[in-house]
Amino acid sequence: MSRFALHRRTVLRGALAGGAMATLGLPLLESMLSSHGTALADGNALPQRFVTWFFGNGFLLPRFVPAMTGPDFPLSEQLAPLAPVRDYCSVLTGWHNRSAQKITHHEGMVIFSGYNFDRQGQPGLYSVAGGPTIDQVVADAIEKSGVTTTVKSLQIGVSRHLSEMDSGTTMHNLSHRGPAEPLPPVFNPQEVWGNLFGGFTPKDDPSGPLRASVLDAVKDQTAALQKRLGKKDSQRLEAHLQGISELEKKIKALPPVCTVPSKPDETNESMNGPEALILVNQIMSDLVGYAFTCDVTRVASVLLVGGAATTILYDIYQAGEQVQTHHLNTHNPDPAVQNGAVHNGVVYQMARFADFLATLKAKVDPTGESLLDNTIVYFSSDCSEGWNHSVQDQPMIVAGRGGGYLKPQSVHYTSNAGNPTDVLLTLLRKFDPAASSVGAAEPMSTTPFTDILA
Amino acid sequence: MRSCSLTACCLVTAVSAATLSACTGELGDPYGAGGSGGFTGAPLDNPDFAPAPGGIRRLLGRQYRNSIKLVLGDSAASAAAPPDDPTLSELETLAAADLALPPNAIDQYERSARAVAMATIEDGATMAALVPCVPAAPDDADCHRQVIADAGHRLWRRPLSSDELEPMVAIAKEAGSKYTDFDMGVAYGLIALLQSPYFLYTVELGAPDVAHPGMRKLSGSELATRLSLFLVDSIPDAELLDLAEGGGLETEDQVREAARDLMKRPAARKALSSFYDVFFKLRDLPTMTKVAANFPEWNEDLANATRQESLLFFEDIVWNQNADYREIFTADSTFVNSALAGLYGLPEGTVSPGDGFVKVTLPKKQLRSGFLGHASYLARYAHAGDTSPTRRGAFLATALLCKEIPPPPPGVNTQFPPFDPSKPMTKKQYLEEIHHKASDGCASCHALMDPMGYAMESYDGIGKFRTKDENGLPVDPSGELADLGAFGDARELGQLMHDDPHSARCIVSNLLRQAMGHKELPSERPAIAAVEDAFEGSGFKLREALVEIVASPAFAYVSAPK
Repeated sequence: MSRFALHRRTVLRGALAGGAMATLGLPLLESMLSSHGTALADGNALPQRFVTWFFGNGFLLPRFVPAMTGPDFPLSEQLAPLAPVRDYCSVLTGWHNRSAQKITHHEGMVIFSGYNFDRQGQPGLYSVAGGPTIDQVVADAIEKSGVTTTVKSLQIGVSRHLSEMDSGTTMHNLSHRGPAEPLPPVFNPQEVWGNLFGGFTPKDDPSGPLRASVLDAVKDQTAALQKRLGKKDSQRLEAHLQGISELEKKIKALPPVCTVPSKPDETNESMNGPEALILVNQIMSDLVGYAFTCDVTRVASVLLVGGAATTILYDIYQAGEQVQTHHLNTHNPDPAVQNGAVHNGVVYQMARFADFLATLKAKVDPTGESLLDNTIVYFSSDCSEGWNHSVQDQPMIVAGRGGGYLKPQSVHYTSNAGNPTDVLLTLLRKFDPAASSVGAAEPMSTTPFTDILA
Repeated sequence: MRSCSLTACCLVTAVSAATLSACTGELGDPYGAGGSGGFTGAPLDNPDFAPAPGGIRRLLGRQYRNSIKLVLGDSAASAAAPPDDPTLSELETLAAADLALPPNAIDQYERSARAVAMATIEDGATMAALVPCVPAAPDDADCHRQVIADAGHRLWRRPLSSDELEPMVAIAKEAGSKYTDFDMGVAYGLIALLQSPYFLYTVELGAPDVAHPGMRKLSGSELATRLSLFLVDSIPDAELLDLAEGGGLETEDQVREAARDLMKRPAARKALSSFYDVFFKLRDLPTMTKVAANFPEWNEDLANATRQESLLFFEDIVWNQNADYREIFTADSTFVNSALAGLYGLPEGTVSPGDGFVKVTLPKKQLRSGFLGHASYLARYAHAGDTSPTRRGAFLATALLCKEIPPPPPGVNTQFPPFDPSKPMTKKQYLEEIHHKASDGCASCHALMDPMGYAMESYDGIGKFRTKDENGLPVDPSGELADLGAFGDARELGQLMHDDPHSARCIVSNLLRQAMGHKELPSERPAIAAVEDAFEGSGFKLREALVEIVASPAFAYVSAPK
């Protein structure tokens, strides 16, 4: 038996043991549901959520791409972990990432934004995002539609070993609001819990209004300073003001009326030696699930393992077997390594994605629907295959149903070199039906890929 | 498959030849004696000189903590929990001047401010110093005003206007009254001061200098803050702030004197160590994964020891010996504890486990040449299970010589030919095969990095000396670079780097980035050339480079914000 299987069982038992709940009141949705159970009592549609999910260094296409297209396609070896959630997963192959430049690995990230990265005239392995990633565009669209959640969007990271191949910000962050505004993933589950559930103040606590008054004073100071600055710094302070207004919302928000998980014990601090990737991913998945059912946020991004990261996937090795970073394995020409550690590494990471989806699937809205019925999850990597960093045929997976927006079945779609940003535009329209484009320049799209719509 | 043209991959250095001709001033003191009216030196009057635009920079995490410690004491500082510092181009200061704060960070600063304030009001000695008045009531406005004005002056490095002061006094009054506790009012005053952009960012906008149109001279307190953050990683103390506000930081010589005072403090050593720790990525060592089967000796203690060795080594050259900085390339001595003594193969008994670190001379046959022979560098720039001539060479080329290496060309074939077990090759032979004989344009860029890494093949993936590699083949540490020339081993390479003028200019360039948060602009060249000349004139004493950086008009002046 491989170490992976043993480890996984132990871990799941641990995750369950640590999952003690504190129920603060009635579940939010039930109390607010209309009598038909299809919308909220105030007439608004049920909350819809959006997730981007990533692991680095690609796949082995011959073992990833399903043998048949259309519905009821057989899962390939590297998609096999998705079996428990396959009804919710569609696979897209054959799209060509349109990034105009190449640095190795960086270009793959364009599939999450539709914007070319920006090298800012810097040498070497440096780039920053050319524009906002799709999760942030969706978060803005949700806000613009009049919905305010206490946390606008959540960024999660699992493996702390980041990319060695970036002197900028592209590879270290899955979410960006712009070239100077990366949103770093949070790797510590306790900190994620604190951001989501730890900041609420009871109604009669005098600290709430005082903290809000402090923020008013800070806002005035920030706005006064902003006027004396140039464009770049003024924009930085604009982001600072945005952060303050998000914090204000949090301070003024009432505690969520729902089942809140207890604070996790895990801090994900161990980096020297094996990381607890299965456990941390599971806890993070649970936290996202609770955040969604409590409607604390509707947007999340999850970076499991970075592109060109120094992460070693210890769980895929037998005891005594020679270990190596997954990234270096992908560059190893030995077919035994490609078909061994590289393949196993892809399957292992796909299993973590499946754990995430299964966690959302298991959570049920008061309508009796799974969270995945009212969520859209967009998944890709930073290349199609790690050994050559190619971004041609860069696969995507779209999971969840988006409240009936996406086809209620699992389909393998193929394209002859289509633009992946078309898929982003399609998904964005769920949240902003008037959206006419996503991205800019070569990777921009104005033509949604409508085949995936219900 | 497209190939990378020579021009695209050609070596570019941060210090161009054209700008060298600009440094016509004499060595030693390029500014003359200095006048009473402010900066007077040659670069200021050079029509080609313009300082970088003014703006704001975020305090680094350690600067935030040290500043809180300075003004609010130890227990307040230990409650401080600022967000992590990202890096750009390997430096935190570049990111602190360029990137916006994410919403999470705003959240963290608020939590940190509250924790710091609550720790402060529990600290009797600090409170006695902070509160100069006897409050008549928990909402005594006059007393709150005094506390906030005084603490604010220190934390914001300038007096507060009444428009700024009064809203915070109102908050303090309100808090004092709500909690019927004057100290809670003080706490909320501090919470406001600590979240203010005037505490979290340095504001470096200056005021127009009538003698030099188009340039803005930093105010005394702006300059004191820039100086103090760079040299001791903290906002200025009361004494330096008083000096600056009293007009005592106006001339180059006054700035030099203030710098020399700061540099006498232990905090100056620590600040420079932090620079090396971050820029050379030594701080990653304790969390570096090494394959246990290949490197059974590697553990957290050894990893920490390698990091400590290098920090002690730099500290010794700069602060204890005040030696030629370029000894980092050639020194034959270093600092070891018992774990490192074992790794370096020193005779038994050289260091006992209880001895800590001692300075030793390394065996000549190991060819260790200053920092190039340190296990920290050799382990950090290697793979988990193996060496990496490319990574090791790339670090030397970019971090120590400031060469710019372009990214790999698009469409490059990274599917390397497999090792043929019947024809074993050393890394050098293999890389020459795949990078230098290949037809896809890899050679021109790898020729800038790999050869330096060949010299480092004398050490395994954690820095242990070897004459045979992991396949039992003899190591050939020789190599050749187009600009530096040929070398037979690591010691000869170290000497070439020592003698190369780029190595001295490169450290000046990186310290300038650390000091000011931007990469050098062409218009700053005349001032930077003067710093380089002064550094050379001092016999490459790094302390003199630090002094001349802060006394440079590139440091004391800004242009209008952009």
